[in-house]
Amino acid sequence: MKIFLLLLATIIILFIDLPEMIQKQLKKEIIVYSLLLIAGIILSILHMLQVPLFNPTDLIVWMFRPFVE
Amino acid sequence: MQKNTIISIQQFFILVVYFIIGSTVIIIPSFLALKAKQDAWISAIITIVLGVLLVWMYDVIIKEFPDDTLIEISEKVLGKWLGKIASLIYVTYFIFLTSLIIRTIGEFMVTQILVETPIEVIHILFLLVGAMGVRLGIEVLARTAEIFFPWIIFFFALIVLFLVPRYDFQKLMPILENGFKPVLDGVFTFVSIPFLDLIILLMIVPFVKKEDRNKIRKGFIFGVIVGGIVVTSLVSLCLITLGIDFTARNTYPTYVLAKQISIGKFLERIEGLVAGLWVFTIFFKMSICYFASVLALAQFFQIKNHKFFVFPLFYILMIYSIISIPNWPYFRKVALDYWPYYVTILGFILPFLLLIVAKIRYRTTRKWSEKGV
Repeated sequence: MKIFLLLLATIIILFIDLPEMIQKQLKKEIIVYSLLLIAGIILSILHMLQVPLFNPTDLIVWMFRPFVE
Repeated sequence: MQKNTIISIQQFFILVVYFIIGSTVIIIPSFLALKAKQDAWISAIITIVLGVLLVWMYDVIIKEFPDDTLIEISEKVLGKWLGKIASLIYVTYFIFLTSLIIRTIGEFMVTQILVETPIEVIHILFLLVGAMGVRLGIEVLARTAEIFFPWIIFFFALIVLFLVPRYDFQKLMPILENGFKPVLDGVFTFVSIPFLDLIILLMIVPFVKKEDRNKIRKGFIFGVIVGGIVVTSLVSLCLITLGIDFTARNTYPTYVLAKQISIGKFLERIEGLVAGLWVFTIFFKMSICYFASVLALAQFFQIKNHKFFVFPLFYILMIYSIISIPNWPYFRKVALDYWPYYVTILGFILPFLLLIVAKIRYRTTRKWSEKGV
């Protein structure tokens, strides 16, 4: 159900953004746009399936641990 | 990129003020009371001075490259590959900061006001309005900010004036009980949360009107001072009405402060109204950061129209605003101990290096051009 809603939202977004990009034939834009969108959708679905994802805050903690201790 | 959209210097000043107030106002009082105890107000005043010096340094960078955003500056100064690495660091930082700001307001709403609402709903609502603003451009955001400015002043005046009966200056005594070290600890915390993040505004500076360019330093510094005074007075209010211990232990001391307002047992429970102060400012801070990350991403990929990145980023921001902070005590620990080092590198050391490299390279190129002539 959640995944269905997510895909529905994506379709709405594509309807807003895609026509302008296709009309102006912005190839580079379309490639980067779809890559980012696919990355976002995959992240969302993984999050919905409760897969533990990479947490940037942990990276900061790991990086600056020597300073704090 | 659309640099033809323009904002005036007053609007820029208001955006700076919002940037300083937003999210700082609900996070910082408790941190400062924890670090500097009753001397929190001293460290807040020292921090404003430091903030002005920092903005002075940013202004030197702006003077060197008046038409470029931070991403363009780093690619111009450091060359193609090093520049790309530096811009990638900044892009990730902008996105990360945006998601943290969204989480700040979401967490506040969910624990204090809309107790039974899932946090995702609040995030989606905030982000949708923000996304609309970002798609329409910085000019629209700046004008909206201008409209809300009197309201922000009104809410601030409300909280300061209505609490007068509860002031108790004895709570600030003894001054400098434990010497200067706790005060400096407080300064380090306070500088890191709003002031070093001001580097994001270097993404917005190129949109200021051409004829207002020479006033940027004035507007920037004045905005830092006004925002700093608002935050400092709210920190001091927390100390003199709630006391150190309560301020340090509470997650949202400013909200508790607003709950204390009671005029003749008649005018009570206006904290929801006063919360508008940080709801509005956090919204604008989030929109500025959202805009900056969209623009930075577009410039990183060298794409002219940043508008197309708004929705793809929406998903990423939405997910990272939830997973980057598993729980609020974790956020408090990270923001107190680790975050200051991270932003010191991004907000001070890296721009400083950029400035030095730019000065050296500019000197040599200028000599070359003189020889050529």
